[in-house]
Amino acid sequence: MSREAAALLPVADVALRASGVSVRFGGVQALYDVDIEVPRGAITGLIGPNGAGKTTLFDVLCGLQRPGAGSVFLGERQVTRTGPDHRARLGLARTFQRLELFWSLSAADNVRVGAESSVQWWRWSHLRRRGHARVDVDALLARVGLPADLAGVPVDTLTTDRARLVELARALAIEPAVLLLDEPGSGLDAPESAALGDLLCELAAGGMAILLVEHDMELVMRVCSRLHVLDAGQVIASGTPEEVRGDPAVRDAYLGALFPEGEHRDFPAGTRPLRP
Amino acid sequence: MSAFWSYTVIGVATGAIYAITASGLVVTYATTGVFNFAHGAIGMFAAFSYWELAVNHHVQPVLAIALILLVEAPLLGALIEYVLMRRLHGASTERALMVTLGLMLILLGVASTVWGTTPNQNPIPPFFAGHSVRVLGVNVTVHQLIVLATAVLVALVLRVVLRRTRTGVAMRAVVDDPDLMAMAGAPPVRIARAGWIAGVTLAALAGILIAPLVTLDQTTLTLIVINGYAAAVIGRLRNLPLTFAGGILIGLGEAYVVGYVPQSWQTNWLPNPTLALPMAFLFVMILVLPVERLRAVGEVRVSRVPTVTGLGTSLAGAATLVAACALGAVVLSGTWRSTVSQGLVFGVIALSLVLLTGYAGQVSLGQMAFVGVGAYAMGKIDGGGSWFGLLAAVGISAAVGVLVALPTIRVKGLYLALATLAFAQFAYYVFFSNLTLFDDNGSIFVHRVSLPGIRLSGDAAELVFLSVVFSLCAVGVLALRRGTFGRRLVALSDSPAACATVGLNVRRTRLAVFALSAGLAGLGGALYGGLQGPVSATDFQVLVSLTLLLLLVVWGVRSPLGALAAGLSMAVLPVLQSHVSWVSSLPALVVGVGVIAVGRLPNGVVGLAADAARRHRGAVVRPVVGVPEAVEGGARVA
Repeated sequence: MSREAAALLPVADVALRASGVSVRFGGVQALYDVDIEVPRGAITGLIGPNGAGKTTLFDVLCGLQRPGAGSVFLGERQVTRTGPDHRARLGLARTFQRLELFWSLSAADNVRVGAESSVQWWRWSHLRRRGHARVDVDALLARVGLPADLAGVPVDTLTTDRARLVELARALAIEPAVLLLDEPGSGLDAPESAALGDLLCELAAGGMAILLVEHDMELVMRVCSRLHVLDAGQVIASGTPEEVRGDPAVRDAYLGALFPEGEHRDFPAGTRPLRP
Repeated sequence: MSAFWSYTVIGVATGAIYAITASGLVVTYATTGVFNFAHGAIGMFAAFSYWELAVNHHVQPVLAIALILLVEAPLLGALIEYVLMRRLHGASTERALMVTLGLMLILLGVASTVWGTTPNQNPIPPFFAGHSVRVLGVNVTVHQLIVLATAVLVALVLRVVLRRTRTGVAMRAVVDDPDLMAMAGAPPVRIARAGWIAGVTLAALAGILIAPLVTLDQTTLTLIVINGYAAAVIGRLRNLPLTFAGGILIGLGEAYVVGYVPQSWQTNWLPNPTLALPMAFLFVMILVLPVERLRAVGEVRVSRVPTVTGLGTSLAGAATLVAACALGAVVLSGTWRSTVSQGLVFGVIALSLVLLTGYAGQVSLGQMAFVGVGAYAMGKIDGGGSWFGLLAAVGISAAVGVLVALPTIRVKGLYLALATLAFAQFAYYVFFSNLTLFDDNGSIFVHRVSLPGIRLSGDAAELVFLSVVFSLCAVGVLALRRGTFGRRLVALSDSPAACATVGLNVRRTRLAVFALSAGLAGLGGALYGGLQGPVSATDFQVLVSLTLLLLLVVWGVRSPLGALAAGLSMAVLPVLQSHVSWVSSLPALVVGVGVIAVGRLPNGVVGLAADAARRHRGAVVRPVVGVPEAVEGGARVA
């Protein structure tokens, strides 16, 4: 987001903000002076070609990667130097592009670990009401669209798209204020993708701030109220979907491949390595 | 002043040997990602081979050394790569670690079978014994000169090979990025083989050089080469110049302590400085390692945990065990009663490893040290044998566990394993071998607890009592596994990064499970002491810890039933040994072969049996054999 545009948003509405973030891996400048804002109650899109630095930015935002320069604010709180677990307890949840599930546990138990993360088992209060997480795990799995009969099976037997839903449910289980989603729609067919879009809109309507990395442009254009375009570690454009779509620089860097002559097309399948 | 220079010469010479062995370790680790715990045993094996050739068969020393370094060691290295390591490709660091530990026990077992277990009366003479030159007014033996020259030569050769030859450059490139290297067409197998051959040869060289300076017995030689581990950690397992500097530093420190710390103090507090100091050093080096960054490992789908046993089944199992032991108390002979009792106590100790290694994926190589702390507390506190002493045994062991784990939970799993090894070795030499603390000629007597109305002094009552204790612990461990904490442990071993992103404090959880595990081991120690009566340092040796850990891996590291089987095997194997005279160290051999045979079965024999039983009932069983396990961040040298 450009600095002028950022000035337009009242601070209280910004749930997550990164400013001037730079990350360097050896000789590669993965992110350079990135500014981004994720407002409450809306879905913000983050798009860009593979290798643009989207996942690195997610790692910086959630605390898995410490930036070389720049700061991250969760609400009005500076969290640049706090660890990922602390940020999660402050209400930041994320999913991973390459799934990062607890493969030895069932789908329900994966979500339960998230739901119980605030449980302090060494406290007496926990012993008195054992295992009663605040979140209804089965309802959550149903909400993201996982068939009820799959709740008990180990997640390593699930197909990738369904495993992705489990990861989404696990992230939602910590009742986040900010949700970072790294390609939640990949591998979904059109109706599933539409259902996911509805769910995200519903969550945003409930006040959640969502940052969405996605290659499915139809989904992005439908649900996002603002877009940031990342290319080679830099934000090259920010604005409403219409503005971004019309931006010549964005066409050159990314969308040109997807919308030749303005025509909508799905992102080609199989762009990610599938593992057996 | 001349005393100072003689200590310096001794120190530099010993340090040079550590540097050689450590550089071998680094070369293997950097090129294959496997930390070779059998490194010391390989050095020991080479030293004994040399002794056999040069001393027993009067082969020319030069010829003997050539045979060992140019034929035996390269063959052994290639064999290890081909037979053991190649099929581990992509396996977890934990699994590779277990296989090298198994190899270590096999080498120890073979060596003690071939060459006997008593320290040898006819040791290896130093090279050019009796010859020395005077440098700066100090006598330097020719052996020491040879050691120094060899170390310099090794450093030069490694530098030239790694920088100037094709394979060497490829080996260094592997360190940077193995995947990229494979894509660039470098043959990974050839590089791995080169890494193993170089590592094994350097271990052998160090073994031959150090053997004349110490007692010629298997354990001492194996452990003294392990001192090189500390040097390797200084170089963070990848920097050769730092590794060499570290080796010299350790050698010097050792020599100065031996030389300058008053003899009486040494006798009382540091009976074996050569073996204790490097371990303290290793521990300190791990303290100053930089914090490991949590990172996502990417989609690696493997379910490693067997079906979790429910409360009903575990209670039924517990009742069956207690009933069987009650029956055993009536029908078994006295000897077998105490063997089974001992098995149950080892079972409790194994349960502590189920929690730590099975569920949480953290490895402790020195669990018997916590057992020893428990036994000591039980023997000394409140007059010995009291219930308060039992509680204190659990509490103190847990507290010591926290102290050991605190500096290591922030670094990767391999270093926790190394730290527990260092702690156990240090505790062995400084605490358990301390005649001031173990005041009855190196042992203390531990009384059994008494229950009101029941005398536990008889072995029948003790057997039933121990079966009840084991059952309670096993039911407790399973209950823990089914609850919040257990789910967290499994989640933590699957993906620490994901745990952090849902708000779990990774370090606190690791610390908690380590404390719990050490406490349970302490309980095992109190029971062990009571069962044995007098206990001494040999009860708590590192080799005992390793044997129990590997037995648990063979039977099933994630199951209390596996813990029971491992405990019973631990007690029964020595009994079997007494019936088999043609082989010594039978437990070590059985365990070593077992752990390699079980290989990639993630849930051991018990898991295999459980799958078979389920299949028999017609259930669909997902194959868990041969699935690649998670490649932990540590497996790859970054």
